[in-house]
Amino acid sequence: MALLEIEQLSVSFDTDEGSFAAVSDLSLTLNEGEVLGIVGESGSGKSVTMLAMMGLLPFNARVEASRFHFAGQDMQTLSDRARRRLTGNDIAMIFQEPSTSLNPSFTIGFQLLEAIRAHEGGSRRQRRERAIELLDQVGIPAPAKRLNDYPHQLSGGMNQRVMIAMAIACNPRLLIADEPTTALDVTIQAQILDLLMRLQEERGMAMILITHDMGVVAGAARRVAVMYAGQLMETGVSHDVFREPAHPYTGALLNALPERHPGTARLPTIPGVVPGINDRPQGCLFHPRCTHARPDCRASRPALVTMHAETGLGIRHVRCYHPLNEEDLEIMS
Amino acid sequence: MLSFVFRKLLMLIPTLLGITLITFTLVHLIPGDPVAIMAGERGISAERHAQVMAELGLDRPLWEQYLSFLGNLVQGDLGHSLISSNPVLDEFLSLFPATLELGFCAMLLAVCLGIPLGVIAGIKRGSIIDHTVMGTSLTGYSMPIFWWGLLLIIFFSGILGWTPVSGRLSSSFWIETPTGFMLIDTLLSGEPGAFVDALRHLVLPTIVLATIPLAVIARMTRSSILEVLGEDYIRTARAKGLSPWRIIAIHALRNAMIPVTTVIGLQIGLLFSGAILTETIFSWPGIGKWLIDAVSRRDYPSLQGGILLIALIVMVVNLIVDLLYGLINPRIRHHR
Amino acid sequence: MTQVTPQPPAAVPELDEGLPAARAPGRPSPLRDVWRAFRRNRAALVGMVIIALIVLIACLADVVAPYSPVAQFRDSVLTPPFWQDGGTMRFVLGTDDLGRDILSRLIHGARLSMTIGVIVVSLSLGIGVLLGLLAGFLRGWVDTLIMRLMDIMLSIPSLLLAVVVVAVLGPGLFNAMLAIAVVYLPHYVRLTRSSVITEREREYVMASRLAGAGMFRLMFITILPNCLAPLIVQATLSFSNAVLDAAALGFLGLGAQPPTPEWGSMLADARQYVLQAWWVVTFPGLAVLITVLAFNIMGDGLRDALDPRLKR
Repeated sequence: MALLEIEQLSVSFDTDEGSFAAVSDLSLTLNEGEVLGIVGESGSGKSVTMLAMMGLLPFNARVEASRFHFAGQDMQTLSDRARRRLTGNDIAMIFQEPSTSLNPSFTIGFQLLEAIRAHEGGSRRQRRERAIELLDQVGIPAPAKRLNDYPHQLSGGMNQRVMIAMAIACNPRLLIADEPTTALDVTIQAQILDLLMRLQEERGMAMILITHDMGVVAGAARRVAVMYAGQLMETGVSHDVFREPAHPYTGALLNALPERHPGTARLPTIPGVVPGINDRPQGCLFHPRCTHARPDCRASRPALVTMHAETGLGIRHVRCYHPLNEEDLEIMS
Repeated sequence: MLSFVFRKLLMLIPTLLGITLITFTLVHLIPGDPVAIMAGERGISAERHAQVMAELGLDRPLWEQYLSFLGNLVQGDLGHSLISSNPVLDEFLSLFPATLELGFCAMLLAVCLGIPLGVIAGIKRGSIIDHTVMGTSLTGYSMPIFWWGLLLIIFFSGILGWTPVSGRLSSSFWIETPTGFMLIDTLLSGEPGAFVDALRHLVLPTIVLATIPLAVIARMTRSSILEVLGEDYIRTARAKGLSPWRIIAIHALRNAMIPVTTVIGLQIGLLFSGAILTETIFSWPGIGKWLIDAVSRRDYPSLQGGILLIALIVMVVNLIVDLLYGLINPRIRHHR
Repeated sequence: MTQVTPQPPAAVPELDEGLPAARAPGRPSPLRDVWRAFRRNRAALVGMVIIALIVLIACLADVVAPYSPVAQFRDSVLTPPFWQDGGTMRFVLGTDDLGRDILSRLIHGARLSMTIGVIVVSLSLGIGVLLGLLAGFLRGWVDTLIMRLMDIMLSIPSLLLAVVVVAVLGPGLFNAMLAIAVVYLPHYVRLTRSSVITEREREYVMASRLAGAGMFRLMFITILPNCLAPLIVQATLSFSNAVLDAAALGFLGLGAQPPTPEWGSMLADARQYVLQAWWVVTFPGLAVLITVLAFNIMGDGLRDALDPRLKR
C-alpha cells in the first residue's frame, strides 16, 4: 500500500483581492522508502503543496482534495491534535533557509531536545544522549559541545545539518526536503545532498525532494514530478523523463542544464517568467513561453493524460496536447 | 561584559555634565529673586538681602556658582533647599520611595496586562478581541491622564465611595516608615487594616499612571508577535508538531519580547512625566509633586538637583535595559 | 508624555517606489497611491472626518458658540447639563462655577487647541528638520554637538523639561507652546538625521553632487523630499501630543491662564468641583480625548499608507 496518496489536491488563498488558486488538480502517490523529486521554477507551487501536506499553511489557505491519505489515515478528517502527533513524528520537513529556520533565541540543543521530547520521551539523560548521537549522525564534529551553541554561531551548512538532525530525530517515515541546498555554498550543497541520501537509504524512509535544479533530481530521485504554475506537467520515472522528456517545459528545463552544453559560453534559457497570481493565461498555463505552442494550446487547458512508457518501469503522465517526439528532442540537443 | 558596562558608564559622564550645565543655566534663567521669596510676605531689608545673597553665594558670577556647584556635586552635595533648608539629596531620597512604589506598581500592572493582551490580540488578529484590545489601547494611549484620574475619583471615590481621594495612608494610622514603601511598612507595622488602607490609596494612582505604558506595551507586543509569527523558525516549530501553546509561549514570545523590552525601558523614563501629573491629582507625596512645588516656589537647588537625579535614574535604567536586551537576545550577547 | 512611537531607524519609504504592481497605468502619482491605501482604513477615515469637524468648529467658533466664552451668567452658576435635573436647554452642557456656558468654552477651546497644534508642530518640525539636516549632512563636531544636546534633552522627562522651560519664560499659553516645541525637537532631529544619513549614500544624491549641486540644494531639494514620509507621520502624532501636553501644562497652571477657555486650564479650574459637579470636569477632558484620539487614529492610518513595508 502506498504511504502517501493525494488525489486532486487544490490549495487556494483568500485575500482582500479575492481568492486565488496556488495549486490545482494535483495527484501524487509515494511508496514507503521511495524518493520522489519535485521540480519547477520558483512560484510553481512546489512548496505550497508540501506545506499543505504538513498543515503549515497560513489560516487564509484552503486545502481541498478528493483523497489525502498518509499511512492509511485520512488527513482531512484528522483532528488538530492527531495531526500534530503525525507531523514531526511520521512526517518531517526541512527548509530552504537553515539560518532563519532555527530560532535565534535558543540553543540548538534546546531545539533538538524539544523535537525529541515532543514525540519520543525518555529520561533527560537518554534524550541528551540521543541528541548527541543525532548530531554525530549528520556529521557535526564535537556534537556534545555544539548543543550549547546558538544558530548564529554556526555556518549555514552546519545549521542545515542541525535541521536534518531535528527532522530525523523521531525516525519519520517521510522526510520532505524543500530546496535543502539552495541557500548553501556550492561546495556544501553536495555534502548535504549526500547526507540526505545516505540517511534515506540507511533508514529506508520515503523522501520528497523539492528543487528547481534538474541535476539534483537526476542523481537522487527514482521518480520525478515536474510542476508549473500550480499544476503537475509531467510525472514519471526519472531515468525515462530525463532521457525522453514529453512535456516541452521538462524539455526546456533539461535543456537549461549546464552539463548538457559543455564548452558553450551561453546557456539556453526559458524566456519569460512563471505567471503570477493574477496573470494566469487561458489555455495551457505554459503556452506563452512554449516554443511548441499551437492554437489549441491557447484555447483550452490540457488534462493530465497517461502515456505509455517505453521501458515499462512506471507510468508516465503528461499535461500536453503535443508532447515532444524524437524529432523535437533531436533539435534540442 | 564587565568592560562593556564600564564603557557605557563612562559614556554617561559627558551627558551628565551637559545636563548639569543645561539645568544650571535654565534654572538660573528663571525670573524672580530667591531671597525675596525666602523672606516671604514680611519682606527684607536691603542690607540683609545682600548678606543672604552672599551667604548663599548668589552674588558671585554665574560661572563661579556653576563651578562650585560642580565641586559640591562631586562630593555628593546637591545644595540645600531654599524653602526647608534641608539637603536636596535628603529631601529627594525621603520622597523617592513614594514615587518608586507608585511607578513600580504601575509598571507591573502595565507589563502584566499589556503583554498578554498584546499577545492575544496578535494571535487573534482581525477578530473582535483584537479590535477591542487595539481600540481600547489607542484610547488609553490618547488619554489625558490628569482628566482620567479625576474621572476615576468621581466614580470610585465620589459615587461608589470605595477609594480615598488623596495621600498614601489615612491619617488614623500612624506607623513607622523604615523603608519608605508604604505597602511594606504597613505590613511591618502589624497595624490591622493599615496594609489594606495603603493598598486602597494606591489603586487609583496606579491605574492612572499605568494607562499610557499599558497601551504602548499592548500595541508593541501585538505588532511584535505578528512579525515573529511570520518567521521561518515558527514554521519549523510547527513542523515539529509542537502544541500551539508551546509555540506561542516559548518560540514566539521570547523573540517578540526583544523590541518590547526596549519600549518598556523607554516607558520608565516617560513614567516620570506621568508621575508629575498623577502625584498632583492624588496629592501623592512623591518626587513629581515636589518638583512642581519647587518650580512654583522658585526653589533653585531643589529643582536643579531633582532634574539631575532624575536624568541620572533615567540613564541608568536605560543602561540596565540595554544589558537586559543582551540577555534575551543571544545574537547581541555574543557580538560584544 | 511625549509618547515615543518606535520607528525603525531607516524606515524611509521611497514614495516613488511604492507598490508598483498596484499602480494604475498612466503617470505614477505617489499621492494617489497613499490616498488609496489610506482610504481602505475605515478607522483612519473616521479620524479624519472628526478632525475636519473640529477644525470647522474651531474656524466658526464665533458663529457656532451660543455665548461668549467669558460671559458669566451669575444667576446660573454650576447648572448641570440639560438632561439632568435642574438642567436647561439654555446651557446644553451646563455652566461652570462662574456661570460660564461650558459648550461655548469648549468650542472656543477647540480653536485654541488647533492653534497650539499648528504652532507647536511648525516650530518643532521646522527647527528640528533644520538641525537634523545639519547634523546628518555636515557630520563631524556639528553632528556630535547637536546629537549630544538631543540626548540630554531626551534624558530629562519631557513634561518636566517643559515645566522648567515654562518656569523660565513665565506661565502663559504662548510660552507653553514654545516649551512643548522645544521638548519635541529631539524626535524630529533624530528622525531627519537618520533619514539623511541613509539617503545621502544613495546614487541619486551622488549624481546630484557630481552635477555640481550646492549644499543648500542637496539638503533641501535633493534629500529632504525623500525623508518626508516619516516626518509627516511624526508630525501628525506630535500634533496630538501637543494638544495633550498643552492641556497638561494648563492643568498644572503653567499654560493658558484664566479666563482663557483652554481645555486643560478649564480642568484645573474645575478640580475643586470634582465631587459636586461632574460635568465641569468631564466635558473638557472628553474634548481633549476625542481630539487626540482622532489624530492618533489618522496618524496610524497615515503611517500604514505611507510605508507599505511596515504594513502587514
